[in-house]
Amino acid sequence: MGRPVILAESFFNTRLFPNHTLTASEEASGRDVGQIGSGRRMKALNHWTPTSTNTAAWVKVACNRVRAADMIVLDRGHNLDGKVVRIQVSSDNFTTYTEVVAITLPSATYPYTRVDEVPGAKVEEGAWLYRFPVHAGAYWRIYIDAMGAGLLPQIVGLHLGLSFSPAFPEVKPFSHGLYELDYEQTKSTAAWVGAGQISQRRTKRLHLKLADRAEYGSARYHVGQLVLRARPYWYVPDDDEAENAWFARATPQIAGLQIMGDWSEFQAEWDAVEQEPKLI
Amino acid sequence: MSVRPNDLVFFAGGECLERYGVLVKRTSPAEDVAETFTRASTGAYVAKGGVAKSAAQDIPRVSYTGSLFDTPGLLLEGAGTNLCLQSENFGTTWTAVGTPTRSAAAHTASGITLDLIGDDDAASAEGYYMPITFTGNALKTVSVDMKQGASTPASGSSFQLVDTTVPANRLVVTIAWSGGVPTVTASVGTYLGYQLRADGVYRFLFVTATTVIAANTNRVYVYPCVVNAETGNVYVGAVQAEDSLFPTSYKKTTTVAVVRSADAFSTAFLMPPQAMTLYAKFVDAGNARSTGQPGVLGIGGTTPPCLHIYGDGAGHYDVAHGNGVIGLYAASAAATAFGDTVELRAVVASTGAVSLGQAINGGAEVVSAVTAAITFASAWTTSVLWLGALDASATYKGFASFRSVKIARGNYSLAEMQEAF
Repeated sequence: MGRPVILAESFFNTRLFPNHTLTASEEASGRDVGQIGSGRRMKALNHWTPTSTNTAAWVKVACNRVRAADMIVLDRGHNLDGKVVRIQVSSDNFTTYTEVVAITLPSATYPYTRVDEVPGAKVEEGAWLYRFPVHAGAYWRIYIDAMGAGLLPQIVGLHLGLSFSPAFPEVKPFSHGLYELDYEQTKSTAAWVGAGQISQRRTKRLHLKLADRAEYGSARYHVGQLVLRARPYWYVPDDDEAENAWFARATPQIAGLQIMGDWSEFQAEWDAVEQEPKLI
Repeated sequence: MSVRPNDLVFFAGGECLERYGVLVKRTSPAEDVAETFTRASTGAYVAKGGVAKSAAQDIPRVSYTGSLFDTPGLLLEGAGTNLCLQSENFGTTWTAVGTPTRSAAAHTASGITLDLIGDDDAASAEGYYMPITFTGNALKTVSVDMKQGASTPASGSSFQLVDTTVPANRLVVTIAWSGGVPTVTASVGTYLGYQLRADGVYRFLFVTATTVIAANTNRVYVYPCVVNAETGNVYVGAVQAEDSLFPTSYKKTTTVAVVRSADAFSTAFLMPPQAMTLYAKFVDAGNARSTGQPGVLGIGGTTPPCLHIYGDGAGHYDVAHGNGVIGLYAASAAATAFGDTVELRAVVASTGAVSLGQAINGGAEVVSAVTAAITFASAWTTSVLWLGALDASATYKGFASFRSVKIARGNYSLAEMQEAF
């Protein structure tokens, strides 16, 4: 079993990073670049798109300090399957820059997709995620090559930051996520039972075990200060099956890092539910 | 015994960047406060992958080393100036010796533009020279980027600094190539080593053997072939000449000399004087050859109560602890050299006494004697920590690439500090 990965940080989230500045090559009316860091997942209400078709486009964040990142997620609703996306980092606002990777996004979902391997993993709902070797800079940019005649990119959610992956797999019982099935039932006068809007929301109790004290600082930040402050985060239950990733949020509870009787180092347990599940 | 997480009160540098995503450790959004950093000019660095890049004004430089260019360090330097004009363009201002061949901008993959210059005269030397206007009579530093050319002369290429007034050779270097790997021989002057770039490019670093007379005519010469009877070519560029005892990071020039301003890096440091262990791991970028007191780190400024780790002007390091009444210092035994990877462990005991351990290039740690005891002051003069300096002034600027800087409450061994996160 592989290791879990949590991406709770996103440089494009200006609520988490209020001193970051987002810009884009172009912004269509009502489709400004700030929407991609909002965490909202409904494309009809929230996405960025430029104005020019068949033209290279980009979104950029100017950070308030040098920041390292190693993971990117494009949430469902993007139209970049089969298109080339470039992750770029700079320390002089792209007068010079390093291209971390250029990837042609996968068009299909495959089982046992490793999050570290090009071209990354496509989730069944359409999100794409990829973990890359750590790079650092004060400016980060996602650059999309021209997509073809009549086409322009659409991004609903973009998450870019430093992930957290403890050395140990999750403590059992383990699942990729259980399903909370919810719908209203009504019974007619003829005793027919009907269902209202059906929603299927993933839910899970995560249990992480840290290998040593060296992991505590990172765990405190990512889990204690981001996840357990109800910030939505991308959760990859197993980095060798990244196609099972989903967007989660901790529920109201008492949780945190503690040393329990069965292990000498810190552990963390918390309940999470899927953030804005896709309507069935 | 390992350092408890809550006892590691400060962690900064390239290692911190890899683990925590920022240059100074933070474990909560409230702690995610940008460090105070200024530099009044752009600055060059080597990005991950070995390609030279530029950082904008007031942006810290994270420079990568290692054979795979995957080890980041926070590069902090004092000011430096490249006196050699047209550092990447032999077609302008440079004077040809004979009729050398030149393919302009033949290499750019390393982030530095190198011309491919050649000597196709099997009887006479061909190349280029540039006069350098130095200031003050002293040893001088020159550096150059090179890559093996398409046609390699058997005896190699030559790089020189010549006083044509006396006349006298201040630097004469032969660089031979085999399989893309250079062999450098300095017949006049000192070879300080090389810095690797991407795509087989090497940055060679030299200092003159004797004092350069600034009022004389001093020229940098580049010859593709050492031997007149040979022909061949070599990729050359990034020529830099400095009024300095050691080379600093490269500054591209065109029509005028270019100044890179000093880096200034500081952050709040709220822990009052008490028993602690300070650890710094860095690659020397000039401290060892600086005749001043290049700072590694300073707490509290230069007016006691304060704590300093700094070079002594002769390649050794000192730790100094002052409580406003008495000052103590302990010194490292062995002298370090330019390019060394240095680990320093300064211990402030519960008695206020200090000692300093030093390990060079992964060798065994050698620890100094422990000083006498002094009482702790109740607070530092100012609750600020400077990296690569002792205070905000330009006086104590150091030259180093910081891999890791840690401060822990209590006293710990070198191994314990190395493993603390």
